[in-house]
Amino acid sequence: MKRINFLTIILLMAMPLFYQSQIECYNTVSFCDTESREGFTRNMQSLSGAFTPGDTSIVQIIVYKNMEYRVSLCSPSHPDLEGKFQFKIIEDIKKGVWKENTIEVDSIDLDDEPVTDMNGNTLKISKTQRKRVFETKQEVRYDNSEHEMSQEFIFTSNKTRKLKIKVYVPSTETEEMSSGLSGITFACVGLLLEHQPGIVTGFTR
Amino acid sequence: MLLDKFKMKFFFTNLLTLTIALGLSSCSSSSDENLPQNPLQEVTEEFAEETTNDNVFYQVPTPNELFAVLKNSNAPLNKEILNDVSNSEKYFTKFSKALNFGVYCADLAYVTSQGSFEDAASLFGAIKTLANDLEIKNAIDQILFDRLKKSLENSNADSLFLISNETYYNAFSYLQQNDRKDILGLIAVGGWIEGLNIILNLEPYIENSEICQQIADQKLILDNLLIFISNVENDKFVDIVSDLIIIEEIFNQNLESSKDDVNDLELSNKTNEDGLVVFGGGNSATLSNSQFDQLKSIVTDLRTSITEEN
Repeated sequence: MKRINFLTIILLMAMPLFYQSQIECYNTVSFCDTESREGFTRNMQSLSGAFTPGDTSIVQIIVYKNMEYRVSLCSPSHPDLEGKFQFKIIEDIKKGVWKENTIEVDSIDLDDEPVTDMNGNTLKISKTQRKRVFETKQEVRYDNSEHEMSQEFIFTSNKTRKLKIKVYVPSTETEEMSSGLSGITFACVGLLLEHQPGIVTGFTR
Repeated sequence: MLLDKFKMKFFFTNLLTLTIALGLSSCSSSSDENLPQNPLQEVTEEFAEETTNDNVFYQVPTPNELFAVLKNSNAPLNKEILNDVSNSEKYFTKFSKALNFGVYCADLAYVTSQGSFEDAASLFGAIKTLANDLEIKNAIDQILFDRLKKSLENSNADSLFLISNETYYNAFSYLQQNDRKDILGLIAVGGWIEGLNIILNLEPYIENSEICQQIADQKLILDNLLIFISNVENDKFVDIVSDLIIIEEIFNQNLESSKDDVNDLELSNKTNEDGLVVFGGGNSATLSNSQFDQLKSIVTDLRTSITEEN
């Protein structure tokens, strides 16, 4: 009981610290290097937050058809993390699959009476249950670990779609994650999303 | 309470059961040879809507992004659908001020995407007034205002459009920093409704047109918006949320008929001639004439209730 109370106290003490760390990190994306990003505009769907080593976070964004997007990650307060973030762009897709199941059921005649054998035992027949289930599967659209851990990725889409960006914050071995004002171990990480209208052919551009 | 209400609607499971009983041929006798040869078959179809995950951050694009996409459409600027800037002085509650701050931001995004300098200046003035009242004037600072003036003087349409994006961005960041989720949610709803109202009034229904496609795609934004605003606690907000749920139901009307096609187009990544990765595949949302009319009607009413709210 005492142990539970002790844990509760620790958790209650940590919560404001965690909150404080989120406040400290709220605008990290503003400090990401955007020097060579002529033409791109900072997108509201960017996200900043406090991460502890080994954390994973998922952000669901919506990308418009024919718009170009650039995804990048930064941690201005922890240069040792730069270049080490892993991120994946994932799309949920729904696919219909047939699931079949065979069960034994009592045989009945047209009058809904059980069909019996000579010994009076109810006969069994096989019944196939076919179920069309629409399952959501995750398809990885991009994984930077397959592209030399590139810290940015530019893409466009042929239709408006929902995408999830999954970010993995590496564990640091070289340097302690700092503590900031709150005193707990975390790093401010910014997931910067930028956009610019894609190329439209013809005289309109 | 509000969240529960959403979840009831939003995380619904659409279950369709089609039972086909086959093979119950005449078998009144008790002999084996008279037993049905074909087994009974029961076919069930289950279509579950996506559920939310607490560990996922659901983001909502700004009206600027919508109008950046539509920048190249040939639809002429329609000033009549803008919220009159003089209304900005009639809003007395934080509730109406926040909603209409979003409305004016969407209007600003629209007019700047069309390069209308005169309207941009007056709309920015209305936004600045409401920003002061909402205590977010630090987000819309003098530097931004000076840049706006310079862009107007130089007739720089691109710069003006960027400033309108920054206006929204700064306000959002400031509110996030100060943990004012209620105001943030209201601004997001006001901006989204106004953006949808504008594109619904750009042209009449034309099947498969670029604008109708954009309207259909707004279902995706609404999905995220409903989650984004689920923390807003305001009694007045309940009515707006109810209307948003009706809008969601209108978008979902063709979900049933399109379910056989769900993602039947395989996803693919291609590289275009500029070396850019293009995410392809999957099905696009569609919009029928009836859905268009229903949306137009309810969005007009909702938008009117927002802009005429005191």
